[in-house]
Amino acid sequence: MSKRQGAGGSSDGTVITGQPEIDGARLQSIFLDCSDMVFHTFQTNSRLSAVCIFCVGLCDAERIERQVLKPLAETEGGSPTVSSTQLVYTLQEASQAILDGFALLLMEGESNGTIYALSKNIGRTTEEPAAESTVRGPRDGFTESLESNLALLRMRLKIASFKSKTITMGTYTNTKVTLAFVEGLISPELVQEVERRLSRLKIDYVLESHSIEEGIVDERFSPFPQMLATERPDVVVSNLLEGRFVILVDGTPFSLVAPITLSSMLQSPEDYYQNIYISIAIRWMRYIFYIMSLLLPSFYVAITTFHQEMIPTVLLLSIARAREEIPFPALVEALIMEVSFEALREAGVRLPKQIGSAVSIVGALIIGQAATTAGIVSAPMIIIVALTGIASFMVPRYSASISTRLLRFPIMLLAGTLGLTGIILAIILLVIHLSSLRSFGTPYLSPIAPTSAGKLKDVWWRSIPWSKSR
Amino acid sequence: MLPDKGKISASQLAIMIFPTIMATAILSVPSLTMHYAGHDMWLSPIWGSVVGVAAIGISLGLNSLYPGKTIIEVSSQVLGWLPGKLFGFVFFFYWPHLIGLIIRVYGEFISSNALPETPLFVIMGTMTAVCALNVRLGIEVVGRTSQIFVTLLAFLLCLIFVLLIGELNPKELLPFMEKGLLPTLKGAVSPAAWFSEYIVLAFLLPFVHNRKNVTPIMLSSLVVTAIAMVATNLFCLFLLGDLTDSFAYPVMIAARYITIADFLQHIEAIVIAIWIFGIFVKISVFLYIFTITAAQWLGVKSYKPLVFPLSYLCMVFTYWLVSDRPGASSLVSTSANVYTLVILLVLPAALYLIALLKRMLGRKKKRS
Repeated sequence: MSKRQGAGGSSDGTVITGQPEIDGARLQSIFLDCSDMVFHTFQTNSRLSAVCIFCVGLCDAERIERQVLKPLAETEGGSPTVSSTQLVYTLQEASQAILDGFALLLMEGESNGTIYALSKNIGRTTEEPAAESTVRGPRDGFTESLESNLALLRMRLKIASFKSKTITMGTYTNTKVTLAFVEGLISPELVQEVERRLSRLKIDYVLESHSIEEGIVDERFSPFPQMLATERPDVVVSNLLEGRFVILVDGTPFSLVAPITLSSMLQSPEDYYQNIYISIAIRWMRYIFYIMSLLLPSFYVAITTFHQEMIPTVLLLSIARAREEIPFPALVEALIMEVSFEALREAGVRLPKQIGSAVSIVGALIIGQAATTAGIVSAPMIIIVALTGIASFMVPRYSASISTRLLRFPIMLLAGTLGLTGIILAIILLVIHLSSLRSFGTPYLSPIAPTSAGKLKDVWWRSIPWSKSR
Repeated sequence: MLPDKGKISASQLAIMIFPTIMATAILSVPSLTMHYAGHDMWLSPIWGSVVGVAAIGISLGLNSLYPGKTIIEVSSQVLGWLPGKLFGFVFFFYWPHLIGLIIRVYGEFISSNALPETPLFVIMGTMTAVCALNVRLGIEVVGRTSQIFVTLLAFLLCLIFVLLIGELNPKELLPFMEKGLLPTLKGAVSPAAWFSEYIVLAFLLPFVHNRKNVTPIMLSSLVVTAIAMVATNLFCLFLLGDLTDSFAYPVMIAARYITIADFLQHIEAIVIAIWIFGIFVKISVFLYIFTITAAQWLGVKSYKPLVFPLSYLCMVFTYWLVSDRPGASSLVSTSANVYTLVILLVLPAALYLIALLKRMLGRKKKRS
């Protein structure tokens, strides 16, 4: 159990006196105007006055009555029948425990309070993660409850060297944040470094793990994700076994895994769950489409504006015929289409599911069909934009695909002004950035550059799990 | 004291060297060697690589005499303060010449082959800015970017060669040694100038963290570079025959021959595009060495504040060196090659000799 510090509301370290009336009143003044706090004053069977305090939404009132109040009130010398109890000595600890969902019991003559873990399960049950679905593979995903998420990991790692350390973060939210890793596989310096960064981070509230991610990564202003956000326990476990760590945050299903590399962002857990040849083929297709999602519109703009000679004559003729009536240069055309595609996609994500289909109809009909017939956008451009869209859906990690969405636009501008040379300059700039990027000390482009031959196999091909342990 | 804390591996260094030599050699060497050596031009790079062996030998020798020190630091230790500074100044003055020339070659090549209407300043300026950024991020980043781009470059070179096999005419090789060995030796001057660029090792070896296999790795890098140069010459010869030296960039003409299934044709633009990766590495390596030289010559602790001003200086040199395209091509011709050879080979060799003599005299004194 973690240390209880930084109580909500009170700042004094007043000790518990052993007189429930006084302590209860003090706590009542701390929790003044907190309508969800219950103060139950009663007398035990042995004529001692007692008070039980808990937060009504977080604790299971029925279990408190059955397991704590009944034994005390009815039987002589009876004691509560709860497995998980703990003693607290100051009002600060006590009030923090109540806020964490414990039930507090103060008895006459005891200079400590007892807290009982009788919290109610208010989260949802585990479901298949919506953002990372696989055809074959485990169907359970993380939920908003930190305890159950840790349990999902423990279910898969039944070893004592799977360690987890919990701290609380956020001045106003006091959110529990757990750092978990497998001892012996992870380098101790890495754990120290993460703990140092976490402890250095001053933050007001933690509602989602991203606010922690932004606070502890090496390069905050990079469009590329330096931590892997995942809802899948199997992904987390496989990463833990490769010597990485995970940060679980209470209240969100998204856990953070680091240190990661660019190549690991392009791998799907399913790669390891199916036939090796299929996995390799799909992995390579993913690499190609990842590059396409970044460069395809720029390439089209560059070739149609600067290097028409590269297009075979027949194809060139049909493109020229399609573009005959288009009033815009290819760059403007591409920008219009890409921006409207991004708008459509964003609208589709935010809308309720029932209206979402309407958006796609509008998109397909108006943007696709009507724009071509009206002669505003050429048909080849629609194909390019559609292909780019599909390509960006191929990337298994959402955070990796949104970085290409963003970078596509400056590259298009460069392609429209300098042609292929501009695209090459953009690629050089990107590679410079990626080479200088580190995720918790690990170069982002490793194992490609700097090369480590053993790990490179898992980039070009796919490693076989049993071959790892000798 | 090195002005950069980063370290690279010996193989990363070898990878960096490859485009440092080849990126511009691939453009100019075939026609320059053919000018003197005729049919036997493919032999010239082999003679030229002797200079590469010498440059590597000097660099490794200096590095073993004074481990962890660049040639600039070594020079003031060997020659004393003032002569050492003078020696350093030669390089400090020579690098902007060389870098300006490389950038100019890049600019002329791109503006004549890909972007005829774009101002030269834009073409060269964007490239210089990108390279300066790369250099500012340190030797580690330079090493990693070159690893990625060299992989692409090597892949592309092999691809061009494979796609061209059908067009080759090996009979162009004959008559072999028509005029004896002498013309091939004359032709070897220009490849030798490129091989003398191996002296960059004298500046970069202190940044290598695993010194164990440096010698074999560098020698194999030399072998690979020499083979690449011979292969380029052979391909140009087999494809264009005696016409090779009438083109400014014979390799580009060769790339134009590529046609696959009537669909993939005119892919020069892609060839140029990927060649830019190579020239980017080349400019970065020399710019890095320039800033390191400057930092050590001036006694500055970190080279980073110098990167952008010095890059701008190189940019200015591109205009000071030459005023038009013929001027640029005369600067990569034979007389310029001799200039390069003197600074990149003779000067370091002299320094190495003096260092060796000093060491021997020092030992004798100790004995007596």
